Amino acid sequence: MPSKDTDTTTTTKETATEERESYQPNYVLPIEKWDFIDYGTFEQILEMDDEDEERDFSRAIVHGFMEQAEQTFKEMRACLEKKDLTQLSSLGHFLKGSSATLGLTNVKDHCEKIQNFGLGRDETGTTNIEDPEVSLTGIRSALDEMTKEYERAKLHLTEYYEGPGNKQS
Amino acid sequence: MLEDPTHRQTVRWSDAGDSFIVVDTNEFTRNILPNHFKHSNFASFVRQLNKYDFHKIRNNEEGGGNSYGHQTWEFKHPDFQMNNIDNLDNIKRKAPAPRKQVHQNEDGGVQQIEELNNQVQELSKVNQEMTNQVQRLTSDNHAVIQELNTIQHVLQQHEERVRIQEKVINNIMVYLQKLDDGTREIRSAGGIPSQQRHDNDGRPSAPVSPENSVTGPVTSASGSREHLSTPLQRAQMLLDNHPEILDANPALARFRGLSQSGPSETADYNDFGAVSRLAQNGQRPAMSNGMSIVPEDGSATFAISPGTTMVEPFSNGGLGYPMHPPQHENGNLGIRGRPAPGRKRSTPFVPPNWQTPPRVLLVEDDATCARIGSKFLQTAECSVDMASDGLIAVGKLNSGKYDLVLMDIVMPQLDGVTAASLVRQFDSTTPIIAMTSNIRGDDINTYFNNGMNDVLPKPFTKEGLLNMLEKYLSHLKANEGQIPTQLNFNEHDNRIIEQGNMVKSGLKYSQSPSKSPQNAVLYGRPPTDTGEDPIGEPPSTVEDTSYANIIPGYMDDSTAPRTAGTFSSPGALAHGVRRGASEMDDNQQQLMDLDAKKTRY
Repeated sequence: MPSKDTDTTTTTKETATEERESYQPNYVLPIEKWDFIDYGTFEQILEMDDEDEERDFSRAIVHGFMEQAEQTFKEMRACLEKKDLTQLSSLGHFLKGSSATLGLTNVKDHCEKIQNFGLGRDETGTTNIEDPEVSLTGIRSALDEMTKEYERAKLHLTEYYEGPGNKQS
Repeated sequence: MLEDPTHRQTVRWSDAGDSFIVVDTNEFTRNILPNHFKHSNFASFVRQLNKYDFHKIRNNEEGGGNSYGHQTWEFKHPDFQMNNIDNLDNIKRKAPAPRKQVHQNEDGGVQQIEELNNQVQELSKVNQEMTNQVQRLTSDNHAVIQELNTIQHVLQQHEERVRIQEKVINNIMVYLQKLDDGTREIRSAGGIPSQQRHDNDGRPSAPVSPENSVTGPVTSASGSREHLSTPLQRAQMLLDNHPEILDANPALARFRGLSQSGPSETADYNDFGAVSRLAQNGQRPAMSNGMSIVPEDGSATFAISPGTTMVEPFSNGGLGYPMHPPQHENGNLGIRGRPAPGRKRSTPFVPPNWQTPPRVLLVEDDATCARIGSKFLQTAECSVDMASDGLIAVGKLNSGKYDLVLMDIVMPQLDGVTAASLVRQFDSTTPIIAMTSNIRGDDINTYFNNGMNDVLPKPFTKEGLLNMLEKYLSHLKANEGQIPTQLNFNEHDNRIIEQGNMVKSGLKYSQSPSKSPQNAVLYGRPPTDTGEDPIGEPPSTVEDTSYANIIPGYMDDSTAPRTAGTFSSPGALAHGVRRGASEMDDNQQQLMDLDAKKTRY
């Protein structure tokens, strides 16, 4: 299952890149329905675009994060294979920072879980888990959930940036 | 020639042989001069003789006439003698004019030398004076530097004192909290909604509101008295242990006076009541929001229904502060002025009015965070320098001067905590702010113990960032002094930012639908996380909590006019409702703090 997810991630990424020119969504999700992201946080980044209608700054941030996230997902899968809990925790922390900064709270929460599992604790970090296999299982499940959350966010973000609402003639 | 007898009548030696005599000048000029000179002019001959230092011997006419005749000229030279030819070499043409000039030059040289000597002396004198002046200036400079050092020392002492104050205040808060727990239990048992007044027993749990609040936690007088006496006594003890604090903190002094004199001085508690007011402003609207009550003017009915589970935590977490009706001047009117869902813009990002752009070092290994962080800082009109790990940061801080450091914690090469402790070995002043998503109590203690000054939780917000700039760089602002910014060590100040932020987004803990998307979410932080910040825990955690209490009090007047209309996150505040009773205290401080923070922007 892990490998399958990795493939999916990669494919989606490539597709997204290709779609940048041709993507014509039917609709763009209204901002008030953005439940995949903390709009307050994300909005602060959007504000950094100032009056730039192309939104180059936030666009670069978002795309930078996507690359980062997908790379991290891959590394997490690889670490799961190697059962490298320490590295998994580190990766979880790494992605936690940037996802939180972007406002992708759901992704961030899963990162935190992975970070805690990797440290040999439960997902909230309060009690210790002695069995590494339990930790690995927890990470695997969190990673799957996180990937789903990420893909959903990515879909909407791609719509936001490449959809008709923001498309410049 | 002179010996020649044929010229005897013309020119000859004198009798003594030490001079020669021109006997007949006419004859001498006509016959002899042409043989020896190119001219035949006796006057010229005489001039020549003079030049060779021959002197004419004056005829002594009074003495019976010249022995050689009236027309004779006798010339004499010491070395021109008849029998001494060798001395002729000594007869040289005088150089009267040159010799005179030399004399003049020598005299002039002496004068010049004297003048020069005088000048040199004067210059040395001037030089000496200047040296003295430089020495004086140097010593003055030393004195100034010493004074500066003294001032710095005093400031450090002051800071230390403030820290002690925080600790004491904190301890007081803890006791008051315990007291209030007791009060709450009693009220829960009674379950009677009633007016709460300070009953002049000096009980901190029931400060008198100047506005004579009509609603508030219920205190059973008999029950609370038992609880109250003990905390007060202990607070008294604490204050006695730190007497040096009192002179620096009039409020505390009053507090002590109150506890000593007991009843009749309850009015002094208004200080604490004032401090707590903003907190209540924070919590009250939150409550009403959670209960779907949005009063029109903000001053009206914040009636607390007894037995309502939502209310209970608040009265529990009140830290001894009664529930006041919100105060208009505190800007809570703005609280309900939340924009409709789907607003397009949040509050505008207003950069501080810097005198000079602050130099900020952003230490961050994560590209996304670094980009956003630097962009935020640039928008705040700071000059930003970046370091991608702790090692680079230490190097940059060692070689350059920065006004503020924002330091990520988990980084390759060298983590932020180690980097901070290294920096502190050569730089004890530059504020270092930990920028991290690890904000549990023990983490934060680690940051502080390693010389970091504050914590800016990730994801940091523009409010959080501006708050930090305001707090640590106010001296660089053009219009300084409006807002007290000498508040250190209140990491809750920051934490609330994150919480408030998450509150807007996290959906997991949402229990009730709400009008705005932000309102929907109550608390995004896993309860277990905050569970690590219980109330009487390590000093640093709690002292910050208590300190947060003070802030709104300070903020009360200076910022009140600006707050109205800008405060806009009831949803953020509402999350407190969901918290467990044991966490309410902590949470409430944060709410207050958020309230205070919001008022600044």
